[in-house]
Amino acid sequence: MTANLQKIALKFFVRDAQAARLKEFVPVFHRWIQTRAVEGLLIDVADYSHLENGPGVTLVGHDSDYYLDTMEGPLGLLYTRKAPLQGPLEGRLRACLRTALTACAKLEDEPEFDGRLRFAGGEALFLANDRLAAPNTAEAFAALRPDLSAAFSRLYGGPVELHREAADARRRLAIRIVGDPAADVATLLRRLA
Amino acid sequence: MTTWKEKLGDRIPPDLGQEIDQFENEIVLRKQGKIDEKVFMEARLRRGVYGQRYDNGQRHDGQKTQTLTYPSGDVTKGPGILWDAPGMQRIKIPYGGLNPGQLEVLADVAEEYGDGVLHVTTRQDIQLHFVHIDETPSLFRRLAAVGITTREACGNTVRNVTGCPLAGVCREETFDITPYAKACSKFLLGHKDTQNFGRKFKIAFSGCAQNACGLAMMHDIGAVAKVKDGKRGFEFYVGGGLGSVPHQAKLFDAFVPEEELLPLSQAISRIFARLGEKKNRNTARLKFLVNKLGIEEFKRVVLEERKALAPDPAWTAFLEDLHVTDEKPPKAAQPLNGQHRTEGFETWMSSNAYRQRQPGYVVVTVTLPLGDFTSRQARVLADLARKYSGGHARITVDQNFLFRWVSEADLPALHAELKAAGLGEPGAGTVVDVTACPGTDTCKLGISSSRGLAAELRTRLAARAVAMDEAVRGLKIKVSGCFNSCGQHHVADLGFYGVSRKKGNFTVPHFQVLLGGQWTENAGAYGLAVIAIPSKRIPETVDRLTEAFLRERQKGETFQAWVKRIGKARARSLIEDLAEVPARDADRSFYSDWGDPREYGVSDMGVGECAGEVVSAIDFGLAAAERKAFEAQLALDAGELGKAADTAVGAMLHAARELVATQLAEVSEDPEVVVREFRARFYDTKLFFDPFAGGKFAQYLFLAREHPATAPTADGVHRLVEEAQLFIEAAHSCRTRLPVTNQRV
Repeated sequence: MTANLQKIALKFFVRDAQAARLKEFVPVFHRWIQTRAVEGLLIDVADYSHLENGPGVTLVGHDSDYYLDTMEGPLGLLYTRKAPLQGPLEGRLRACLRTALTACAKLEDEPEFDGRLRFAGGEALFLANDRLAAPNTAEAFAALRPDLSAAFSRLYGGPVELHREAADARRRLAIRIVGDPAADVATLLRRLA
Repeated sequence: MTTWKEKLGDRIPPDLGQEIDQFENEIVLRKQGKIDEKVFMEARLRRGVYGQRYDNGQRHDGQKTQTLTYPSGDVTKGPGILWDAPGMQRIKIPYGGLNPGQLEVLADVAEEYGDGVLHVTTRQDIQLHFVHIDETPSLFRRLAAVGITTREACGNTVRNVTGCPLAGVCREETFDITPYAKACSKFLLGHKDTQNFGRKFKIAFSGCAQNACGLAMMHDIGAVAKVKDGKRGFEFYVGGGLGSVPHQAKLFDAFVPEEELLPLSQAISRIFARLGEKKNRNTARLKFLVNKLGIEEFKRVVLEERKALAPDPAWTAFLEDLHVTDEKPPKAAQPLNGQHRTEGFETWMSSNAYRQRQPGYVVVTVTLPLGDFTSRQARVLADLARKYSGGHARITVDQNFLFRWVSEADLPALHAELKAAGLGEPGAGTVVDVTACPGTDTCKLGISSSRGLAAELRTRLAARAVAMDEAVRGLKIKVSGCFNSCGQHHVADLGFYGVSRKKGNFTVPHFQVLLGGQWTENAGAYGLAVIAIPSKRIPETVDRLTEAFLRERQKGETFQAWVKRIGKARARSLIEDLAEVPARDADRSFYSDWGDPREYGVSDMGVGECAGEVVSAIDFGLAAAERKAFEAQLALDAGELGKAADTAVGAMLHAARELVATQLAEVSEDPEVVVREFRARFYDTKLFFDPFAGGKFAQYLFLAREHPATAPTADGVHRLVEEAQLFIEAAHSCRTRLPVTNQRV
């Protein structure tokens, strides 16, 4: 079942969560729609900044959504893939990583943040947003481990640690990936090229 | 690959399972072009699968209109509605009752199919946004497995049956309406007599007459608990409704015994299906039928129908066990006594805790900002419901969440846990707790950003809440993104609905300010619009009005009574100067809406240099029409019904004449000529048509001219004044759509 997983979500955390207010992302995402700044069909912006530890500000697309999220841990860019991708799981993971990190890089460069916004490249969060294909179980974690290890080892240029975050069995299967702590977004993107 | 259908198996009730299978097949057939798009649209609406803003594949990004090119191309799920466009899923929660298992599944589907947010509506539904239609069958199956159906959540059907969320624990209720609301919801769901309506049909139950929790007076059927000679029954109202022109419900019967509740509802359904309007959806609600026939004739035909009904055991089966919905507390009640209290506890308790009829137990309101909560918070609420309330929870028409049966001693711990989850805000039911429909965020009909405004008001008012005078703290603010009143703006102390106005070549988001509405007594009175104010000046409008109220109120005087005493003209004069819009070069902020940095309505740009003067001529005329509509309101308030009716019609004629003047150099003052020219130039050509409401607003003028009120009633004139305002709003909208060549010079 896990090999069929399409609804992949990946999160990269902001180094300094105080570096930007959620509201600041609203005009940025509207501009991204105007300029079609990231891949895929972009539709709208949803502002949930009134919710504590919520999905923050969301750039809604057809293929994927981009959240400046505080629901899945501290502030970070949560990329969620909705439309199916072709190929084996490892390849799909790499494609999602590339898109997510491209968005991170673009955000870092946005003038609103004046260089303050930096993502911590050394750690990522993987979420399986499909309880049918990948329930939050040890078995599903084990089944996903080879593909996750392969995709993230390539990203980090070496072995990675995978930790299942299983505090609440009702939540989506969440796996924290720890790689090269010094890695920045640009380096990670180069490795995926 | 396993599917949810296989995985859930017989946990899905067979009847719901069959219905979902059928819908899944309809999806396949529609994609193959084998079902007409209109037929499919009604089929999906009846499952709560609703459209959402930009689902026609066009979106203005603030600079230009972008075409959203979806992979499914031009396959549609309704006329002009693209298949792949994300939609809204409405989920019925009868009388707002939820259990922890249901909350958990709602959390799961919000994450996997939506954006992780659950939105509580003003009719105790839950809505998910940005859902793809292809995922709805799985979503339905997962909900069905925990006893939730989306069937008949939208479309021309019996919508969610709402009920007072305090039912069963209220200190003032006559009796617990829960089993009756549940039975009514179940009985009418999918009933053969409710499948051929021309329009939606809404039912509400209230446990008492004096409080607002059930809002019985604004529903197609409103049932208010009553006991007569020791026997249970209902004070039974029909034909109420908000919408663009609100109608107060009419008393059908001062006492309908409990065993007659379901057969009478069935008989009304049959009459509505048979005699209700079908072609013109703008006059198809039950309120129009009741108005057309008159309450006595309506009652006669319904009772005749009732006599002819074949007996159905379901009418009374539920009465055999009215305790089926009874709730058991999780533990014995303990008094609040010396427990450690978190910061802010006392403030929170004063607004968010309500002592139940049962000693020692409390209803706790969880304030949901803008009616939203996250999937994570939904799981926390499920846990807390199990821990503190025996799993008993409800959602409310003012978009909050309730725990029932909380022991007083548990309040500090519950507050601490809510705070930790970001749910510990005080202010439930106060002025801070602003109600708002989705508005321009996601609704296709939205004109202004109701949620953006509500969020702004909430932030500003919360900052001052502690120091706020009690008289202001208790006010209700409700905001709708358009005239359709999903935010229930008519029954607020301060109501707002979205409109737009032109300033030069640009369109500026505004809100109409409504005063005079009443939330208590089951929504006992409807407010009327007094003036349109730019969106960005609404917070200042609230400040001005509430400050004046505090300064001038007499002892014990309510806001509504104050407005009545000082009169609408004076109330309007307090805020009139705020209607002025600065030039765009002077302050651009007025030209975008709250929470949305895009320039509002920039598609109207690009006209010649003289356009400013061109525009001002018609704007001046429409402003005069608005003044007349307001004068009609003043006459109504003064009890001068004939004058009010004439002035309201005059206001519509004035606006119509202004539009005609954009095409004719000389326009007669003769009303017959004005109406004839208006009809030929703006109605027959559909220039005046609203994109969604069609020619509805023009009909207000035509009907008022064709059937002048010979013996006007207060109710009828109230509606006429409302219609005049809506006609003028439509004239404003029409004027923004007019090609430049049609502008008056």
